[in-house]
Amino acid sequence: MRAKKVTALLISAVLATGLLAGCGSSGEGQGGESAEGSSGKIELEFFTQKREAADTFDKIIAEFNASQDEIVVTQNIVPDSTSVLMSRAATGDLPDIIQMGGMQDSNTMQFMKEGHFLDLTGMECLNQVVDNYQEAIKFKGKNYVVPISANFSGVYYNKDKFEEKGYTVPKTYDELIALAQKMQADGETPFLFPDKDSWTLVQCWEDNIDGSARGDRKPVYMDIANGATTFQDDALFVETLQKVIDIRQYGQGDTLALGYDQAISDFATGKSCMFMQGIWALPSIKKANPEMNIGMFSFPSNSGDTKVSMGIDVNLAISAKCANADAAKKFVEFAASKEMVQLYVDNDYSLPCMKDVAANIPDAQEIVDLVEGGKGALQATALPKAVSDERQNTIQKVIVPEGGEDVNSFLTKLSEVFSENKDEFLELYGE
Amino acid sequence: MKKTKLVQRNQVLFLFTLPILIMYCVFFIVPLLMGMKNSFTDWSGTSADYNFIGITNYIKIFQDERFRNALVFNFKYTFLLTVATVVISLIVAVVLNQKIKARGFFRSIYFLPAILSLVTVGLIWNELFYRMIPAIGEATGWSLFQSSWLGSPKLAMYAILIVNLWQGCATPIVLLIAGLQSVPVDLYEAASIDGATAWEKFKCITIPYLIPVLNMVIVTCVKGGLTTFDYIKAMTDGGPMQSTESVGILIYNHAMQEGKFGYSVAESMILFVIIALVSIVTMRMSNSRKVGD
Repeated sequence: MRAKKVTALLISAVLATGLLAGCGSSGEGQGGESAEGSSGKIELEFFTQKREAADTFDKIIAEFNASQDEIVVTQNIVPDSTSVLMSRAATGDLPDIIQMGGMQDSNTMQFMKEGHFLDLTGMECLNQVVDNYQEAIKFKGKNYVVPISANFSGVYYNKDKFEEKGYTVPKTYDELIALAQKMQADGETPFLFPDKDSWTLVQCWEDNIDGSARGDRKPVYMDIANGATTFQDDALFVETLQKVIDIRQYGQGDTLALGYDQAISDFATGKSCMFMQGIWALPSIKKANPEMNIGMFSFPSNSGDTKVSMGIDVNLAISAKCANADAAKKFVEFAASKEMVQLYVDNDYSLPCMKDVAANIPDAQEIVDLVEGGKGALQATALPKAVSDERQNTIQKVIVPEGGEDVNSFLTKLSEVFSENKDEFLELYGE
Repeated sequence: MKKTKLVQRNQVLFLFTLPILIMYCVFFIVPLLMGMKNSFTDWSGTSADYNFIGITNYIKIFQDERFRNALVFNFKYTFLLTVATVVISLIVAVVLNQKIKARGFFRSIYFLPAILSLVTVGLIWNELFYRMIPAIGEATGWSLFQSSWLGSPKLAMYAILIVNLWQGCATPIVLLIAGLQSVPVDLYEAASIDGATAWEKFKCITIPYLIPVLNMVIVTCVKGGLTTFDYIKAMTDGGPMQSTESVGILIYNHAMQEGKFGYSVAESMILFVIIALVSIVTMRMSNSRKVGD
């Protein structure tokens, strides 16, 4: 009996200390998060969503921290960053400075719409933004993000294979198909399609094939929102989605089983001649095979008047609840300065959003030339979230041979969801 | 005199349960009530303000084909998982309980998958399915192995099931081996003298002794199957074509990716009720089979 009492007492003592310890550590955690760190400097959190850019941002942050002694910025990078950001927004605990996607990204738009970002209108660095992009980066006439770099989509090709077999870069869609047939006849795999990750399939359609033929998507989205047309009535959407299906026969086969990371390592090791992706894949390809000779061209349109579909890749935003907004602005000004943007685009193989910064992407010179020749179309219009979710969730059905959906019924469903949510769209982009 | 002592003792005992009770309330009851409140709103998960919309979310869920499909997937998956786990673990446990060579070695081998992290398991099997299955298909010419199962809407569920079993059977095997060792040897001897066959011995002696363990294995399997999330997340993320979208994945996608937090909480409330009902039924069923030991 006595022994039992003693044990019970001991257990409750252990439990009680456990409980107290729990309180203690959470208290410390809050202390650490407060602005003034133990060193007396202002501490800021920089949240990176783009995994590939983490190393470059490390360099920029190191230079910033060394350039002054009041502010210390630390980078935070997590897997599945969208979900983390969503839940942190839900608890009112957004990081001080956030690297966001472009204006074509529904998440960026949602955050802006819900007032999570600080109004940055009037910041000096915004004057440095390339003139063509000035309007596209505003939201209801105000600036909430500072653009750093732009990305683009295209078709990577293995230069060594092209030289060895005497292939030439196709100028029109028909030439591309003829080339793919020739490759198959030579026993090569023309394309790799990582359709397991459905975002790559969306991007293949929207940016690579449709964007390079259409250019800016805003006019057609406005027409759909105003009821002037629908996805299934727009001849170009039908045609480009059909092309998505048609070129799958020149893929590796079993496309739904291949993931993005696997596809990159397969392309880098020469398992296919071409690979449709965005420029963001280049650092990973180079990492997988540093010796590889890569080229990139924009997916050719029927007529050969091919455009380049671009999007802002890296935007910087400051949380509306940031306690040290001035310090955060100082960092953003620094990161958006000419030198830092140059450093960034050189490391990231992307196009700069700032004036007087040179694009330096020898592996995609064909595309850089097109953009510099005025063929770049900056996509700055996001579909309503419900539409882009529906599209990403169901697009795989279009490419399966059986049990799937045809182009028309897929597009009809998209139009239905769009018309249910058209008010949300018109509120953002309407006149 | 005696009575007051008893009351005093009860009070002390109540005090002892207090820490756990408080923790249970703070970390379970409070979030549950907060969630219940959220399920009656149209909160996006990130917005500052939201509206109360009554039971609209619940009405929508019962009309939602995507939710229905996810629920069907869950039940199918749970049934297959439970049956397969019990059968496989039982067979392996019985074999590993025999006096075979290198018994300790085999026991460790079968337990190995359980110590791997889920992400590792997902990566390993993704590669295996993508690169091995077509290779087998090429070598044998069997149409089933023509392409990766993870890429096929019909086979993806079985692919995930295989991985789940590969890792999930380890613990039940250990438990069942422990259960088997608790069976008194003299019962088998007595049965042998009475002329019982091996199957009769297994059916009438081994199984009744294993019922408490099996009971627990079944209940955890059913619960694990109904809430299944991690294996799917690591391997197909609900694809291809939403064919492996379990309710868990659906809740996560709605809350974290599609900005329908209120809706997803309503879904998890429904899942909570379903799991509670199914757990009660399974426990009742297996308890009634229990033989006094």
